[in-house]
Amino acid sequence: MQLHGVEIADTFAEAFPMVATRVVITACTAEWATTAATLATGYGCSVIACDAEAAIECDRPPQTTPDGRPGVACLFFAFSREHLQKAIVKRIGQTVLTCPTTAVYADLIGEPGKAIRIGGNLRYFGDGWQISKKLGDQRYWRIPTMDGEFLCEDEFPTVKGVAGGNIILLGEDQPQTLHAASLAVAAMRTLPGVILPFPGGVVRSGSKVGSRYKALRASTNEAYCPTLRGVVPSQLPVGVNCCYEIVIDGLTQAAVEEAMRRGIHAASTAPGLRSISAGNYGGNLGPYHLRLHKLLAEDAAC
Amino acid sequence: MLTLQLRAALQAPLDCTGVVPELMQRLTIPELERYTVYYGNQAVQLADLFHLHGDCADGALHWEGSNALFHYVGAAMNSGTITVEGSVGWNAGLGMTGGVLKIHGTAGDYLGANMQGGAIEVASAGNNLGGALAGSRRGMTGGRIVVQGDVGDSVGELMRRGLIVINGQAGAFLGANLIAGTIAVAGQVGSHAGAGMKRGTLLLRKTPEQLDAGLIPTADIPLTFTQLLLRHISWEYPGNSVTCYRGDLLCGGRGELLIIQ
Repeated sequence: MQLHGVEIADTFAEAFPMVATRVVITACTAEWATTAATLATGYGCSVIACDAEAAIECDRPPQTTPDGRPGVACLFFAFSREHLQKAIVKRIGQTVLTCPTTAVYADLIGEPGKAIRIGGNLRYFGDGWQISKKLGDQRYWRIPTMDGEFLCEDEFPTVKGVAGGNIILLGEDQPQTLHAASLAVAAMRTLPGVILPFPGGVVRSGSKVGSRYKALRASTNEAYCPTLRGVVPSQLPVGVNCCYEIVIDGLTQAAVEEAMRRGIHAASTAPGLRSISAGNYGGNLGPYHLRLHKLLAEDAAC
Repeated sequence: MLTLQLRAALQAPLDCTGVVPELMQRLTIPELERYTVYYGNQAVQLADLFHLHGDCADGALHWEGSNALFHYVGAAMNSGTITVEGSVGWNAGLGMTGGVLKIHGTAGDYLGANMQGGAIEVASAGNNLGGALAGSRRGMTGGRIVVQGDVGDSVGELMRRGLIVINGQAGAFLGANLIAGTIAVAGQVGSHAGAGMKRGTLLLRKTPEQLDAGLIPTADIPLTFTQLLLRHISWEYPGNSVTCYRGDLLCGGRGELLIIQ
């Protein structure tokens, strides 16, 4: 299958279920909300070594936030509700509660009985002076701070999201392949319900499971390293001198699939891109197999 | 919808206890007509006092011709809708746990007292709105009451959560002994607002002429919760800051009285 002259590999991305939630951070200005959100989602590329996978989902204009102030929506993913709660409480406590004028809200329809407690755990910072307010069915915690108060919703609903959707871009050289990756990232970021947790959305160090070193859980994916072509079994055809991977986490499988589809379409228009593939583990680990050809079934010219 | 249209002016108080959608829904038309209510010291049938039109299958009940002699309208209701074309007397919505009670006229004292859930909308009301019956240690504990006009004294006394919105004026002892809950008043309030409050929030649009000494001003500051509350109750407010009072100091000082600037 080809799309705009770019070979689409007949393969699949292998993805996994992870618990996810959405956090909306508001502040007096969009800049302060973004500052807080950027820090809250920092060091959140992969659960290989981070406590959660996290990134900014989108900006929220004032008319869409609960308090009418500018906001930023963030998504967080972790292996379990317990891990997710622990990670978010730490992140919000250290990077959002500390940031001027911020407030934190939930914004997700989650599975009944599967909420995590964020404000309910941060409230102790108020040292007895915290205030609980209930409006409708929502409970909020108000913690007195030096600039007034920090407000955080008590509970945040969670869903079973999908993590590890991916595409791998194979190009003629580094600048052109990176440009293709940037186009894909821009297209994917228009979609709600997904994040690209790696720096700028692009992974230069795609990994494989395991290592010759017992302490490491993952190591470089040598099959896609151009400088190792010929000395290890390689996935790189002649003429390909650079690869970039884009990893997608989403609240639903459909969202991840649509992100992959948009990314493939956008990247395939870039000059110098030879093929698009995806990473998997043979299909034995993750229950979600996102086949590239199936995603493009109605679009690609064979 | 079941409509209860008053046949003739009442000469004695009418106890409307039990005339609520969740009970009326289960009755056939003949059973509805024979339903017993207390009129003065007499047990009478509904059909003796009212023309009944329709049924309550959709959970909607409509009173026509009501006045201040109608007591306990909507008391203990837990679902459905009751609308009242006219006024009601005491204890309307007493202890209700759900549903919607809409009163197009004036309600007497103890509207929504000991309420636990649901919603009440009324044009104006008397004393002890959302408060506690004598001997109760808590007033309204949940739900929402919206008053388009004025209310009397002792609104929200002892409350333990829930929301009261008053778009007119309130009398004395607003939120007295408040344990928890939120009361917002657009108009002027009387004396001793927040007296004895332990926690909870009073949000005012106008500065009271007098506040008790146990309420002390702390700051003029933007509070995020104010923005949240104003949007929740659909009050326009172009400003940002509130004048924050804490009190009652005699009771721990964890309550707040916020005046929109």
